[in-house]
Amino acid sequence: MNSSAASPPVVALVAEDEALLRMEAADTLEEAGFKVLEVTSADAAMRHLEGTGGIDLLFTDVNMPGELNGLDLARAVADRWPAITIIVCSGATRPQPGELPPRARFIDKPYSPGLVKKVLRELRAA
Amino acid sequence: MPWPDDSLDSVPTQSFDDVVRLAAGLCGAAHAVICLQAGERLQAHASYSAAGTAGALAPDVCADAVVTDELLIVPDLLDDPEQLHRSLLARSAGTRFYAAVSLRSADGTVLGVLCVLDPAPRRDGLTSEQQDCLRSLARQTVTLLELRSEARVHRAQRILHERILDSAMDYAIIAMDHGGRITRWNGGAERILGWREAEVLGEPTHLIFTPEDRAAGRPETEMQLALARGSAPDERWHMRKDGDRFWASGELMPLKDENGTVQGFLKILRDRTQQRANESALRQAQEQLRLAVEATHIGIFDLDLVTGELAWDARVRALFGLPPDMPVSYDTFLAGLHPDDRGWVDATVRSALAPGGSGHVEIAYRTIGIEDGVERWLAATGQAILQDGRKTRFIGTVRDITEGRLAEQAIRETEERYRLAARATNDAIWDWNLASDHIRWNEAVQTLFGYAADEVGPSGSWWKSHIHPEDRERVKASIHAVIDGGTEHWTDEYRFLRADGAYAYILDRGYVLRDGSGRAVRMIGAMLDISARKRAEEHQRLLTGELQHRVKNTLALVQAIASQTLRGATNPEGARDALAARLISLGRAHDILTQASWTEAPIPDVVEGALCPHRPAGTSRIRTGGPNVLLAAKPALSLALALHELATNAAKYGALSNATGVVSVRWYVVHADDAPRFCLNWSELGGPTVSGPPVRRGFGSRLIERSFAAEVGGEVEMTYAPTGFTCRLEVPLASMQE
Repeated sequence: MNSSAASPPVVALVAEDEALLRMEAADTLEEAGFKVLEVTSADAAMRHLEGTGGIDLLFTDVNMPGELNGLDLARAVADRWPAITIIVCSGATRPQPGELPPRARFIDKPYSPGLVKKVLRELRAA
Repeated sequence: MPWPDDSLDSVPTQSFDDVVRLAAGLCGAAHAVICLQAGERLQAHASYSAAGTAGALAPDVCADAVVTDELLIVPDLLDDPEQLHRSLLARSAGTRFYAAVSLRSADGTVLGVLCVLDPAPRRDGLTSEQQDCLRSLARQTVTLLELRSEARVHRAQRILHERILDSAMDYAIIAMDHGGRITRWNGGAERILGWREAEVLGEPTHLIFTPEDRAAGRPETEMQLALARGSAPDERWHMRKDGDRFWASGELMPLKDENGTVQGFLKILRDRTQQRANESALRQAQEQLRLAVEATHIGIFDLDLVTGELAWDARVRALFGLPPDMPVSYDTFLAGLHPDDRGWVDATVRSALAPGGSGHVEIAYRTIGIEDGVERWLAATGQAILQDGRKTRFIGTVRDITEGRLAEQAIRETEERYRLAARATNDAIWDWNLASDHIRWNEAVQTLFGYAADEVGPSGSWWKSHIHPEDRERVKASIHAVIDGGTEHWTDEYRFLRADGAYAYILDRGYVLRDGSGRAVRMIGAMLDISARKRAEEHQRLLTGELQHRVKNTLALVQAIASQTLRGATNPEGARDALAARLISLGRAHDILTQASWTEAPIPDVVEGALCPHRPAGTSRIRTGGPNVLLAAKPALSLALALHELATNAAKYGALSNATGVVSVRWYVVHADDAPRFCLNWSELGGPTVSGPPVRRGFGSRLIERSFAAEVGGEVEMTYAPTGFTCRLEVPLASMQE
């Protein structure tokens, strides 16, 4: 957690169409030591990953406007950039078994900043 | 001849011959003649001429004899001054002397004359002695004539009686003496009893009685009864000569003479064996008819078509609601009919009974009891009876069929209800014969699934083949489990192929009918199309999911607002007020979305909702205006929260923090080259002088930037001019509407 001083900053990409939630997610991840990039759709996230890259954590909502939804994005990312840690969150339906890539984690909305930090710890430990 | 000789005459002809011989002899005349009245004329009945007398006597010598007096003496016909008797001479030439005495009966009727004639005139006529003798002979002749006449009448009567007796062939007429011995046995007795008269004369009548009656002294009892009461009935079995028995009906009467003395007995009998058998058969038939009528609840009517008289038995009367003693007529019948049936029933009966009509009526009609008012259904059958080709009688039966009619009506109504219900519910109703696999469908199977009549297969196989392949085996298993098991009710849901290739959701319910041994023989059920219900359920499910999603999304927003508010909090009280105000603002934005369709809301409402709590009372210090643009739910919430933050800041530090400043909120749509853009300007004027941007960027400005800046392809420009704060948003219109 406090390794930011010793290593280059880890980058998180937040994909969330709701501005307030995106802001809250970004603040939470910044508090956790991430440099946060924000996009408002899975399509935009995919464009960023394909174009710029350099992402360590994908933090994505499921239901967003555009071609892809968050689950599609998560699977694509897990497939193409296996190094990227994935957290999927949603206030809607919990993903069915198999919908989520094996190493991805799901967080049910609403969530507390503490939960996000706990999940991040678990992911790093894994 | 008027008085022909009759060998059986009681007065022989010789008696009259003797009279004329005596008259001639006593008077010393050559001829004597008895002439009797024959109509207007007299005819010789007996005549005598002394032997050797001259001049033959003409046969009709007395034809013109005239009797003027009791005794007429004409000494010489030639001297007869009035020549009254001249004609006699003309016939009997040579007759000169003529004397005649009239033959008068006791009542003075002249029966004829007795006359003497002689060829020689006789001056002295007849001596008084001769005259007396002639008178005596005349009287004697009258007596003879009267005797003979009486005897003849008597004989004719006797013959008549005999003939009557013997011609009464249907009656055995038996006369008996005091002791019951047979004295007369007529032809009828011979025919009925078998014995000839000659065989039984003098025998006691016991022979016609049965041995048991003879032993019981019946013949004697009968005679005693006849004597005591004037007659004794004889209604019993009797015996014929050949030993056969026959049923006799008659009586025994005493025969009395004119003084009332009993002379014997007279028995009159008829053979009533056949009648008795007929009567017995009739009685039996009547009894059978009565029992049959009783058992079948049939009433009988009998209309005399000649007199118009109508006879109803007690049952018909009861069926027409009448007491048994009231007289009835055809009009009574009509009056008892239900008004709706009266016309056609009358016409039917009249047409059948008209000349050339069938004579047969078989109808059912309603009656309304004339006295009891009860409505009944009757079935009537009538047949006209012909006599000489003319309908003279109309007889038949009526039967109460009310119960059957009501049952029939109930069935009809049930069927009608079933039909209406089937139509009303639109259920496809099926009736499946399990042995033949034949299914009878109602029309709904066509209307429900869009099939033409000839496309619907009347079999269980057709039905099964139209079940969705994924459901088919399950449904077959469930229905056969019910058929093969012991239960009766089956219910299942499945998809059924429509004619247009789509599948309808079906709720199918069936009922198994079993035979005596419990084997399923038939199944009846109804297919209910629950596609609409399924769709509604699906809709409901989606709505619930959507609601869940929204609630959780809202909670996520609340969580984010709380988290953000607390992150920047400098004191708990301020944080609490800020949080409450933001949640209230969020709530109001929700209200506006809910009042609209939730998915979108008109921007004036969103702006008004966000700003109205901040509007100082009684002033117009917040001025808004712009086109009516519909905003999508998320941008509307973002805009509402953003405006809330701007207004809060204005109230704390800006134009609304003093008494005169105003805020202007204007929005518009710019139609640029590629896509329309949405712009909104927030300008504050008249507030305290602005010293510059705040040291720390607050929640509001961060939120505004996140909501409308780069991430959504927009621009946000905030200017902290000394005259007042301004904020300008510009985003693709599409991002505010999707």
